[in-house]
Amino acid sequence: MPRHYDLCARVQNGFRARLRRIAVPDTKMNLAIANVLYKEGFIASVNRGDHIQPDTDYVSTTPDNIATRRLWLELKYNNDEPVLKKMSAVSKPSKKIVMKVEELQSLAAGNRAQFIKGLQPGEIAILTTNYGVLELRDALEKGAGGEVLCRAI
Amino acid sequence: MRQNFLGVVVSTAMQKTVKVRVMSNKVHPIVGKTYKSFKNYLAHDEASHCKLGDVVRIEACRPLSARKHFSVAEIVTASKVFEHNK
Repeated sequence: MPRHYDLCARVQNGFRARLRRIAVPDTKMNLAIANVLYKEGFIASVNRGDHIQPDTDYVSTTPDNIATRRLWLELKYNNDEPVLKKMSAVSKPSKKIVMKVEELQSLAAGNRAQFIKGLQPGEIAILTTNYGVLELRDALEKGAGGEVLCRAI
Repeated sequence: MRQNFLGVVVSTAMQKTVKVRVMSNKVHPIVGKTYKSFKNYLAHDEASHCKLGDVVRIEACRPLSARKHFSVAEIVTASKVFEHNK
């Protein structure tokens, strides 16, 4: 079962290779993180599809076609420069990072918390909370802490 | 309220005594990684009805021998016994 760092690697490599769109495994976590990236403006669209191309009409996921199901993320470029320069995992199997609201506030201010560097201008952090997968500032609005999955700049 | 632990029975080779393995999550002081840590407790089992692999709850009590100061309060999950035909 691919974890969130698999998506980080695929997205970052896709941007570096100047691909138009990339296919990632179709899982709930991948979909949730891709939604956050879309809302923050790092990717142009999120579509479900085949292993060859995104679907034009709705295709339901059945045990017959589940092996070929993918999520297609349309990548964005601005003046020939990738919009997303780096996407890296924060919480890893070697060391899980779960943060409280105070630590998230210091991260948002640009200061270190739990040996994790603070967010730079234009950087986002995606974390999973009791309210679902959210961006760091949305989680602070709800007053929720959780496991910090990845950061993207 | 006495100290209670949940654990797995790992040894029943003693008379009226079982060895229970209890897990706790600890944080490494420098690295910050959480890891599982296990400790074995000797628990008093009067009727010897605990089997290997049972999940039991042990409760603190007065010292019953050199290393025993817990007793089995209840068996939470009995271990499965599989019968095979030869």
